[in-house]
Amino acid sequence: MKKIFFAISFLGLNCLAYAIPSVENTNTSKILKFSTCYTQTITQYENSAGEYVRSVAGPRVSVECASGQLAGSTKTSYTHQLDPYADLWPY
Amino acid sequence: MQIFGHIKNFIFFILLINFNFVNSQSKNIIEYDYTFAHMQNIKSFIISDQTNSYYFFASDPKASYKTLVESDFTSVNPYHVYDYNYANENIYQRVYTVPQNVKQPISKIASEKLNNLNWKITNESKQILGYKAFLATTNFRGREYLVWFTKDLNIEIFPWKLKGLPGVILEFEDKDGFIKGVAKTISLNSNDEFPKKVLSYFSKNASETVMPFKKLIELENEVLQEDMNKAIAALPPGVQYEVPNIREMSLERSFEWQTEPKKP
Repeated sequence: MKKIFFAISFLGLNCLAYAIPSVENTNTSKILKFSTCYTQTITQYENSAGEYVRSVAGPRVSVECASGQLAGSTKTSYTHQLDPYADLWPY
Repeated sequence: MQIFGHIKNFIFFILLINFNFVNSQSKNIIEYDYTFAHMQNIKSFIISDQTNSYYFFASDPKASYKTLVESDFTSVNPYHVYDYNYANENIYQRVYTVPQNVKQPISKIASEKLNNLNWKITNESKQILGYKAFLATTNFRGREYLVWFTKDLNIEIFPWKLKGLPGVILEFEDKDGFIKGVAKTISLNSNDEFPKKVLSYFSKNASETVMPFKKLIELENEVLQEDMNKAIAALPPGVQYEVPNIREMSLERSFEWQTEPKKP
C-alpha cells in the first residue's frame, strides 16, 4: 500500500512540474518587454514672426514596434507651433 | 569754491575720455556654423571687446557679420541673446517664457554669475583657422560638452556660458547634438560697433530690476510643466506613457542647486 502511495505521489509531482510552464512565461514576458517601442513629439515653439523660441518634449508613449524597428527605440517627430507666451512680452 | 568747479570739470573730462576709449575699443568677432535645437545650417556670432561679449544667432544660413550689419541685424534671434560682462563675471539673458498668470511688470533681463566650468583639458590638438586648438571636455547642467580652444590669441572668448578656458573657443558641441558651433571666420581688431539691436535687449531704465537666474528657471519650469500636462491630457485614454524631464529639450536640463545636499 505504501509503495503504491509513494509511486502515485512521485508521478503526480512530476506531472505538476511539467504542468508549470515557468520557463515559457519568463520568455514571453521578456519578448513583450523588448517589443515595446516609443513615440515622442518635440514641439518647436515660434513667435508670430516665425522666430524660434523654445523646444518642448512631450511624453514618451509606448507603442508596438514597427517591423524592423529596434525594440526600446523612440521614434521622434517634430511639430512647429505658435508660442502662446512669447509675444506676451514685447521687446 | 572755484577749486570744486575745476575738480568737477576734471572728473567730467576723465569720464569723457574713458567713455570714448570704451566705445572705440576694437572688437573681436567670431562667426560659427551653428546647430541649435535641431535647427541646422544657421549661424552664431560672438562680438567681444574683453569688457563685454555678446553671443547670439541668426536663422539666415547665409548670414555673415557683414550681412548682419547691412541688414541691421534683422535676422538675429531676439530670445537667445547673451551679454557677458568680464568685470563682474555676470551673464545677462532675456526673460521670455513667463506663465500667463504672472502680472506685469516683470524684469525683462535675468542674470547669473558665471563660474569657471570644471574643464578637463587634453593634449589632443588640431589646427582650426590656422590656430593650434586643444580639446577640452566638461559637464554642464545636464549636458556633456566637447570643445576645441586656442591659446594663440591671448584673449578669452567663449560662446554662451562655456567659461573657464584660457583662450578662445573655436569649436563646441554637446554629445547629444543639441548645440554645435564651428568657427568659420575670426575678425581681430575690428572697428565694428556692438549691434544696436542686441544692445537694446539689455538696456533698461534705472527703475527696472534684473531677475535672478533661479527665478527665470522657476518661471520657465512652470510653463514647461503646463505644456507637459496639456500634452498628457491630449493622449488617447488607456495609452501607456513615460514622462521625461520637462527640460529634456532645453539647453540647460538640470541645475547644480538641484543636487545640493540639504543642510541640517
